[in-house]
Amino acid sequence: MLHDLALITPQLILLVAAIFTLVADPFLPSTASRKFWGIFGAGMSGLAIVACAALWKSGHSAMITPAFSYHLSASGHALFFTALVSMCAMVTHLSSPQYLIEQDAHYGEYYALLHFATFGMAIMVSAESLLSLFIGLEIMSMSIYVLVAFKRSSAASVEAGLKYFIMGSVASAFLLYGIAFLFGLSGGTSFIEIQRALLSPKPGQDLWLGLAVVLTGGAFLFKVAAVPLHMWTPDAYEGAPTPITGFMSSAVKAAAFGTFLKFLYAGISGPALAALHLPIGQVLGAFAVLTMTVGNILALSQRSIKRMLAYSAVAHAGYLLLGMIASVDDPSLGAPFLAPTGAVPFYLVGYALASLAGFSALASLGKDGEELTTEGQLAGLSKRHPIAALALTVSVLSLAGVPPTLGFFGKLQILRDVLAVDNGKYLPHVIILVLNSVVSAYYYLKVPVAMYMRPDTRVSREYVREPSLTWAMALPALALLALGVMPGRSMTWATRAEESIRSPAEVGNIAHSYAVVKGGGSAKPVAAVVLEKPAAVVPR
Amino acid sequence: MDTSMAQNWLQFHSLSGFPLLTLLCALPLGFALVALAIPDEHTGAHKAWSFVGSLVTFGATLLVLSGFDRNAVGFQQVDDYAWIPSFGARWTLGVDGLSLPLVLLTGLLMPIIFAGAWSAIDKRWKEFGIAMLILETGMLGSLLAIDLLSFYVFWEIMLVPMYLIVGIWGGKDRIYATVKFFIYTMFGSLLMLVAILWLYQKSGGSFALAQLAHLQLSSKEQTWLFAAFALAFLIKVPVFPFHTWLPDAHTEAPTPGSVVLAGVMLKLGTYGLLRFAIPLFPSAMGTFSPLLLTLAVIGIVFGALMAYVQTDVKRLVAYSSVSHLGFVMLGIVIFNEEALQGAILQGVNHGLSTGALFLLVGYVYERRHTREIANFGGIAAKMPVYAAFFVFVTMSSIALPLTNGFVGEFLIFAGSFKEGVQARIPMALEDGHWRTIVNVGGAFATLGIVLGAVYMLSMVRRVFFGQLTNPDNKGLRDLTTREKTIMGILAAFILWIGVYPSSWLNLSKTTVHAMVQAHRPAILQVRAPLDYKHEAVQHAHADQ
Repeated sequence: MLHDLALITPQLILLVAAIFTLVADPFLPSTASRKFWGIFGAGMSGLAIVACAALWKSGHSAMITPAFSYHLSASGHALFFTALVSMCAMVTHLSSPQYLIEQDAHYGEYYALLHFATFGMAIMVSAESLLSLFIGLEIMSMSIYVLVAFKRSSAASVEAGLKYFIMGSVASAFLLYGIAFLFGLSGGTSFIEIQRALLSPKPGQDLWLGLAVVLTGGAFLFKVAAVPLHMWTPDAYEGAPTPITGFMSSAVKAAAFGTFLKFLYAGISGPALAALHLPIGQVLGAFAVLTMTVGNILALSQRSIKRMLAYSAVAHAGYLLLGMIASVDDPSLGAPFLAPTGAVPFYLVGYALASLAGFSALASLGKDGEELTTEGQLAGLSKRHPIAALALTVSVLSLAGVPPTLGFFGKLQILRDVLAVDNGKYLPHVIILVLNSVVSAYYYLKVPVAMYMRPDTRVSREYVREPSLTWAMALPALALLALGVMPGRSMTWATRAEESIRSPAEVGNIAHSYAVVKGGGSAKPVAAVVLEKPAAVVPR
Repeated sequence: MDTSMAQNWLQFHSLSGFPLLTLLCALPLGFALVALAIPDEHTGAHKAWSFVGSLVTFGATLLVLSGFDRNAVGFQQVDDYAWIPSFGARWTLGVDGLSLPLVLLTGLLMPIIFAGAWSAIDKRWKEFGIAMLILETGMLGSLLAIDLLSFYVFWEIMLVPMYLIVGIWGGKDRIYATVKFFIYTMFGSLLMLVAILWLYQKSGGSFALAQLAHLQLSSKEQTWLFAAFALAFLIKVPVFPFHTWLPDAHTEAPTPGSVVLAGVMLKLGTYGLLRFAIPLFPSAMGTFSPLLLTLAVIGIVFGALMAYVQTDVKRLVAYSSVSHLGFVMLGIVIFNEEALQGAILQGVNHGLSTGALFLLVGYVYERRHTREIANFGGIAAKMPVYAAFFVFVTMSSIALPLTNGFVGEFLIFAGSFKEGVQARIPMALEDGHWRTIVNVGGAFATLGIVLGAVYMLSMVRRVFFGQLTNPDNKGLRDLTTREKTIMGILAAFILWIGVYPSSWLNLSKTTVHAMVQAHRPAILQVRAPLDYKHEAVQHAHADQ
């Protein structure tokens, strides 16, 4: 039990922070002192990152066995993504207080919900079973629905929250339905059981497996905002409080992709899926191309920077979906088992940092309840708030993929790894991605054009200057440049994280079962493999 | 010929004991970072600091020159470090006879640009100095990098500062011009990135130029990859029909921006062709030769005709750039020793004389805030020194003997007529195609020289001579000491190369010889198979 708890230290830290915030908030002496929660939240998220780092360092063999009878694990994949979402939470905590004060919505629950959301994501990306995955997903989603609608006095915010809630609930229902089919097929919810059950195609399962894949896949595509399931994105992004928009486009996206990767590679991929003749790679590739193209084209005509970045988030979901195709033979199991490359997590680091820098900078625009986010209102920002202008510029350059920012190397790795799949089979997709980047450069450039090149508007605008907000935009921007010059280390971490996407216990189990299936041939009843207790071959 | 011997111009000749080239790239960036700390309002300090920064960098380029061995084949003073180990990307910088002239030109032009910007840039000097210095890092890095990924990174680093320079300090339509420039260039370079990654996969995970040049590629692959590389470089040069961003960017850019664009950045396009596209895909170069030659010649004539009809002096000079770079492209496509030497030298010449022209146009613009030819006339009477410098630079631009332009263009023509006539080799039917294109193209290019004289001289006549009719021009002041000094330095270089070109030609002689040895056979084999056989026989004789 203690071992189990030790494995989820980062999640526990986030949970404790959430509950403490909720309980202690009424006892704060004044509303002004609520600003403390921003610092506290950043500190606790930082502590969660430290815990992730400690678990990562403490070695693999002892620590990454699944906890709580195959529901959670501290695999490299889980730790990497937990640290990533905690980093996003940290920056969001820093950028929120002053914004909320200006928008007259400064309540302690905000910070508690932010912690709960991060906790949910951390559970989601560490899940070793569909059950814990779903619970984490719902904890995250519920918190985010409320956070989106947090500006209670603003109709746009409430509308956004409601839309997001209704559509998100439908997606959750689809996911649950798909999970039910997978449970019916495998008799279990943990990825190990599902993998073992799918090791060999069984007669009559094709229909149910196909349904399960379509339903769960659809739910995940909704969560990552792939076209045509992206409709909620622009409204939710525009209506939400700006720091929350940043949090959604960084952390929620990272968590969704982390979970999708885990589910796809450690969960359902395998011989049974291959026998289904459902070309997952091509389907993902088609969605990717559609998503990036539509996202970019719609972003071209937006006047509000917030809405433009929402569509650009859709486009980036497309790039990431293409990155999901990139895979190599699993380092411990070998072919036909695949493991993803580090392309997606590495890209997400750059993308998350750029979103955080950009939205933190946008959060500083406008005082006393107004938000200045149209292109025209940005004019002259470079003179009045040079740090915000610089952070926003670095952010959009990274999003556009201009070296030496981290966004360039993220894109580079996706291009490289996708090209390596099947001897350049996805070359057309890669070229489409590249052309999309050119299109996206056009609308990204509007931002520096407005800030640096347009003459100052006559109306003098007021901007928020506050230390923690300034740090919230400066730190991610600096990180984008620093990691952009020396991307090697984070690239290696991302790759190592994905190498361990299957926990060693799972690897041992699958290797054993696969040997049985192959060795036994058709003579051996396949069902016997399914019924074996997974615990039998867990290396401890 | 043994391929490993033939390609040794891409190998390392000497490693550096001290990372001078890395330092050279980092110097401008370091100065830019320090400039960040100087408060905005100290304009004078920013002017002085960036000027000193560029002078120190120039000093470093001279150090590189002093350590350069003219007779060695291969990269010298190489810095080679691991950069991104998990990606197989290395930090490899080296200098050879191909890059050295352009490195020197960059080092020389930057202090001149800062001195010229003293009065041309009237706002936000801090940002200007930082952008220019970062741009210099990008340019030097692109010239020195011999690992394709670091080359690409430097190549793209140039984009953002230039975009800001045109966009912030430019003229009326600056935003349109700068966005067009950015999108055009990015489009070309991203396709090149895909091609680089394709090569990287083929080689099993390396970006090193020398390794990639040994890859065995099918001819279809070569064709497409060459097209992707060439597109990026042709847009940068720019070659007709990819030139449309250039007149806009040049016209809208502030004077220092135009000088750096014409002086160095365009040359990076031709440099990229020679350094990367041709060595990596020589037979594709053979396939594309007729097309490229045609485009180069169209560029020469079209640029000259367009220049002739311009009413804005700066736009005229911008179109003359299209025409001049057509000559450089012609030399590159011909690819024999004479033509290549001429092309490399002409790149430097164009940087000097067009840079000088843009500065001169800028001087009068600062005084009168117009560049329309119709607004001038007879100003030689008011500005005799200015007129003298302008006429001198015009002579260089139209390639008068004893100026630098003559040497470059003469070599290019000598090379192309050698390629077209080849007196000792009887013309065979199969090869007639290529030789006809060369001869006809050469003839049209010669016409371009005449046209060059026409548009430049008619502009000079209309601006400087005749009656001083426009009353606004009565109060024009002549050049100040600072402006005279700048022009004096440029004029001295123009004369130096014109009178004693060997000192510059010797820098690149050995490298050019090795390049031609290495790649000409493969190119010739495709575009003129019989000439190839004949040259091979001659080589065999020579070896005996």
